[in-house]
Amino acid sequence: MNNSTDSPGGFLGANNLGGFGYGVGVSVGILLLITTITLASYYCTRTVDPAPQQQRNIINVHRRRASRDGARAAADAVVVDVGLDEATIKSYPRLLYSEAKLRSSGSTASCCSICLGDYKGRDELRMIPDCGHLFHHECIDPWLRMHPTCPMCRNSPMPTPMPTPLAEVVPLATRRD
Amino acid sequence: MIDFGRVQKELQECSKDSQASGIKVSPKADNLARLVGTIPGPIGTPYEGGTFQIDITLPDAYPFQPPKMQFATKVWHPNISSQSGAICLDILKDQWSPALTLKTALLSIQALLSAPEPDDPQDAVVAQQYLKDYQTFVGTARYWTETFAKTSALGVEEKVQRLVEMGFLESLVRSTLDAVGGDENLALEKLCSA
Repeated sequence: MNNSTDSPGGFLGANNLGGFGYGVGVSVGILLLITTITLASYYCTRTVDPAPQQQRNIINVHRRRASRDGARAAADAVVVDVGLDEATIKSYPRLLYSEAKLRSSGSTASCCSICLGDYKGRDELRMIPDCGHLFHHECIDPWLRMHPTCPMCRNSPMPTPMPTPLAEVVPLATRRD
Repeated sequence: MIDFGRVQKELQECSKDSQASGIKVSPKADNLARLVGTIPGPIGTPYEGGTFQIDITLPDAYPFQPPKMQFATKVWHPNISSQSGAICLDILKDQWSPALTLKTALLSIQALLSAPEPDDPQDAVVAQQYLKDYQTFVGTARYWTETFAKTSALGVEEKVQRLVEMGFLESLVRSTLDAVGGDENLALEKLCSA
């Protein structure tokens, strides 16, 4: 009886022990699972996150550099007149003084306002489009390489690149107000 | 390289009508890169009656770069430094054009004397005085003209020499000329009555 009662007790105990072991195993398993998941997620987030952060930094740097370049370009545009390129200068009409005199009867100036020298019949002149002012081509070309304006009237013979910056500047100015 | 041919022509043009305009330009040395300009003070301004000398230095790229101009005569004006004589004028900076000449630049400076621009000052102290206390400004400008732009005018030495030849002491002649603002006749009267 005792045996019989013991054995089931022992059996029960063994059962209990087995149940306990199972429980411990399951709980350890769950713990392991949780730690793996947390570790995995930690590693995942650590390896995944830095990339966008770096990218973000790079974008920021790009943006900063772009804005800095933009500001510098704008400052340059304000301070330094960019002259005309050789092709544009060469595209302006070149004519002899004798021809110019015939073309516009009487209204042609008799001397170059850059070197103050009187024109002679064979002198080669350059005419600025739009305003039609004339200069010795060897006098006006170096000026046009530095400044895109007519020395007489300050008109720019070039299609001005002003509209775009102005369009950007005006809304900024109004927003600041 | 400076276009000396052009500078020569400018000097000729200037001397032709210096009687009418009152503006003179003469070379300092014989290399034509350093010159002295002279402008009369505009009538109806505190600078009236003064003769102002302006030091001119031509840069290598003249006439593609503006001439450097600076008052050698002390002048009290919002756009001219009362210390150094530096001039704040756009055509001497970014608004220069090779179609302008030394004479037109000097004419512009003369126009600047008539029409100060205190909102774009070179001398902040003078500009403040011009804006806040115009009467004092006029007084100071006139006093500076009397003190610096008259005795330093060209020909003082000649006046001194003439008066000395009349038998007056040179030191006395100089102090009297200074006292009357460089007027030879007034100085003579004073010397005779003394």
